[in-house]
Amino acid sequence: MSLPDAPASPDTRASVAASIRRALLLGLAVWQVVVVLAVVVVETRVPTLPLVLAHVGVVALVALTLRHPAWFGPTIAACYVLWFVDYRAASDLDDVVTLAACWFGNVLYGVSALAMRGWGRVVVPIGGAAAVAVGLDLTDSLWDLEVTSAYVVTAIAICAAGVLALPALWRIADEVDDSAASLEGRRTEAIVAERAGREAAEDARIVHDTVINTLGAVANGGRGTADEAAVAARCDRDLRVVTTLLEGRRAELEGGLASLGADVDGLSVRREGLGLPQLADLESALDPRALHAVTAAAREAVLNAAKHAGVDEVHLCIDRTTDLLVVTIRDAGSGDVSDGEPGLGLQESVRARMADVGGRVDLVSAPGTGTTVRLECPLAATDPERVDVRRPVEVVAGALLRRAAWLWTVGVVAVGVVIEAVNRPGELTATYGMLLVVTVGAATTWVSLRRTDHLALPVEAVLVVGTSVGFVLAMAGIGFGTVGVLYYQAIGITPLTTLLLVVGSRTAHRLALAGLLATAAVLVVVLVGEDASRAAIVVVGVAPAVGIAVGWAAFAALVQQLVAQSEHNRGLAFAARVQGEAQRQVAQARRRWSTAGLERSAVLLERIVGDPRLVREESVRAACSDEERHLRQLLLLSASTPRMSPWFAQALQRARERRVSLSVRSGDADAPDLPTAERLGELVLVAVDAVPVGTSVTVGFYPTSTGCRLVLVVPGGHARRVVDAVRDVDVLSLDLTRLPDVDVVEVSARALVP
Amino acid sequence: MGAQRDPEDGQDFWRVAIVEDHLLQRERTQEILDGEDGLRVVGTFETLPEFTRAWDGSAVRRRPHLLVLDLMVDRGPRAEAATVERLVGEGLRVLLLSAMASASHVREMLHAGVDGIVGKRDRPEAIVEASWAVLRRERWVSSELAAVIAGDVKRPSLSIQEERALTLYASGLTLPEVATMMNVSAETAKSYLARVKKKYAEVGRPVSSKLDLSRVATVDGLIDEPS
Repeated sequence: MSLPDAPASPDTRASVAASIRRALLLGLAVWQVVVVLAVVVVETRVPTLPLVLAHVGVVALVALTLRHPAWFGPTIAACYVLWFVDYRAASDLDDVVTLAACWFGNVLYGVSALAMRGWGRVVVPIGGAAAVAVGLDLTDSLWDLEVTSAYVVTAIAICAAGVLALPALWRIADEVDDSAASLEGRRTEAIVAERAGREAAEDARIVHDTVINTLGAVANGGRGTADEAAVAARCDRDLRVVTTLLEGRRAELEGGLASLGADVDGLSVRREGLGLPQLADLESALDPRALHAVTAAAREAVLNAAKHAGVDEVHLCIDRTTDLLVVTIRDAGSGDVSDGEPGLGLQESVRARMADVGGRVDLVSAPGTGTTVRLECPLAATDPERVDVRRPVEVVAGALLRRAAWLWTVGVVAVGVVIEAVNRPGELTATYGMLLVVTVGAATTWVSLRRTDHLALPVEAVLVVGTSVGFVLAMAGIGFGTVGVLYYQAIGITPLTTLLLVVGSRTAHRLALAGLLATAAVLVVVLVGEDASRAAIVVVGVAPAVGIAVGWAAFAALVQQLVAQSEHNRGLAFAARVQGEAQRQVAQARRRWSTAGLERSAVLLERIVGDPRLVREESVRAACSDEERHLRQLLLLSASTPRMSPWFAQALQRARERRVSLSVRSGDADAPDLPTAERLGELVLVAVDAVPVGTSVTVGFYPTSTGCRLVLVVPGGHARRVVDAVRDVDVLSLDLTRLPDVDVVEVSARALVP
Repeated sequence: MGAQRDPEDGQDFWRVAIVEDHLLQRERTQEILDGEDGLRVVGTFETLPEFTRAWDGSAVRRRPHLLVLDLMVDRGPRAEAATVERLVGEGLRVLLLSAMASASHVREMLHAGVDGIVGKRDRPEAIVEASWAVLRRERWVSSELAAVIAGDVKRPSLSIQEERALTLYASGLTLPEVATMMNVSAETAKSYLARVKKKYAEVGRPVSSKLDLSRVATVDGLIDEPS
């Protein structure tokens, strides 16, 4: 598996910040269209064409900023200037151009407060609003500071909402990332351990299938070693296995599918199926692990036929279907192997190997008709390391959007109340009615969501109707375009559509927007007869609410897209990390063979290859027996204890060097962590070093209800050094007991993991 | 040894079968068991299927009482737990004689109803003692058996005393040594181990039928054993 370099750890916060920025910039661009419509429809004090061109220029600048963030500053600066010009163009305070310019300003505050960094978020909107307000007061008789100061109040309110709301949004983004990070950590550990264990088990299988059997045969002597040439050939092959294991290049062991059976003496292999060129293609296309498994499994089946079926010929057919590699090994032997009682060769070597790569084994055998072993391996072998850590996008994005929607709701209502109270102190306007409708709708939603995940139908109905009713009330708040148009709260109703978008059904969201447009259309029809400019105010007045609704939808889509991207990157980063970590651990596990002294086996095999007659010598057979016993002990060390096994292996090796008889008794439990394993392992080494040559040491290592217990049994009077070695180790508790013949050291380690 | 010398069917010896693929080991085991008064090796087999065929083909009264079974890790077919379970269900007592067997395989066998385990490198007396214990249907716990139980992370929850007795015994100490370390009598230490074995056997025992449920209840002392 090849992987790209791990990308830098992506985070949800950055994804959301980028989404907000893009959505606001898009809103800014869209609003230019509304302003252009307004200046085209009514008389302005500034020539229309340059004004239109200037707004088109802003759209271009926004487009540029979306691609090159460096243009953000100049764009915002240009907007504040143009905003000032728009007010200078308006011919009346209750003019539609005034309304359009007013909301140009509001969008501008939003962009500055939410998309800028640091103090810019406060200084730019408030400073910009103040500069425009003072500028208008000084340069334009239409405007006075009493009116224009409202801009500064609005800017301050929006900034305050932004400054308060964003950290809450970032908190949830960070929480999402933190929980994902700890989940990844745990999964990495589990996968790495599982994979390292699998590799170690495979190494053990190889050593068992080859070296141990051969050493055992030599040790047994008799007919098994009568043919010296065969013994030498066998030792030569095993020597290569040992060497390869020691060099950590196990994958190079097998000669591939083409050479299957060629190394079995006295056996002729009749090949069918794919020819050599196709085989080579197939081998290069197959996942190396799958190829390795199939080859090893097929070799085992061929050997099995040669050993047990009593035949000197097997049929080997290698073929492929669309998605399977199929290897069939058929012999015409005794057929004395039934599927229920498979030989160990088949059980462990073949079945386990095939299962590891998602393949399967079929064995058909009947007395008199021989045995057929059919191996199937998926060509697109699924990589068991490929674990998906990506979180469901809708879950991550959904939580963020919900939080954002509630912040939006609280912010809009709070800012609405504040600016209405400041702009028109002491007046009980219909605008408060709109704010009340929104509050009731939001509260109903909140209560409904406490019980279920989805909004109940009546609640959706409240929100849909509330949107239109709220719009009418907001319009009533400015006398339907007759008084205080500047104080119109154009986005007051947007919390309702936002909540519908985020937690409601799609249908309800569309219904609310359709209802809003229909209501606006009815108002336009009613008003257009009386005064066309009032109808235009309704059109411009509904635009922000529709714009915000569309903007929210775009924002939601962007958040989803960015979160998906960030999750994808996390997936890649995770896979790369697991791969690296597993390789490191597997390499470490492989070192176990060299530290454990597989070299001795190599020397022994090499001697026999050099002079096969040695197998008759008692000393050589004793050495083989000793070596076989040692390797068997090593294999008994559980692959599921990667922390302790290397220490036990080292201790076994050390004991052999010192001619101490070490017996390791352990189960499937591992030390709770590497430092504990190191402390316990060193104790065992100390014990092996402390006892006199020729004596014996027994180590028991077992799980307990609170952690694990190591029991060292050493010859009487020799526990002192072991005890001294453990003195300053804090996480271990120790007891020394002297029995008549032996000393017993009990060491308990507490599990550190909760 | 005070063992019960009279087999259940009134004959004057217990019939023993050996399954062992390794010739030298087989001959050694046969020699040890034949040398014991009251035991007679009536058949030796290389593989468990061979033994099963002989078992199925012989009259019930001629079947062996005890099977000494090698798990055969590297040569020949691997003994299947299901086969052992069936044989135990048909009245056979089984003693495992292991050289190097994976702990999980041994556990399967224990749950299938095997009564004892003894190591191939053990002294001949240990093998004899284990055979008698299994024939007497005693809860005899060898050091190997203790090691297998102690090493199982999924073993049942044990009392502190039981756990300590188990890990010490599984670490190669003798029963009197375990007792000395725990300041209890050898009998008490032995009873701890017997309880551990009982608990362990119960963990793996399938409770799938009414019959099994009543067996569990009996062993747990919930109902009186039917007389």
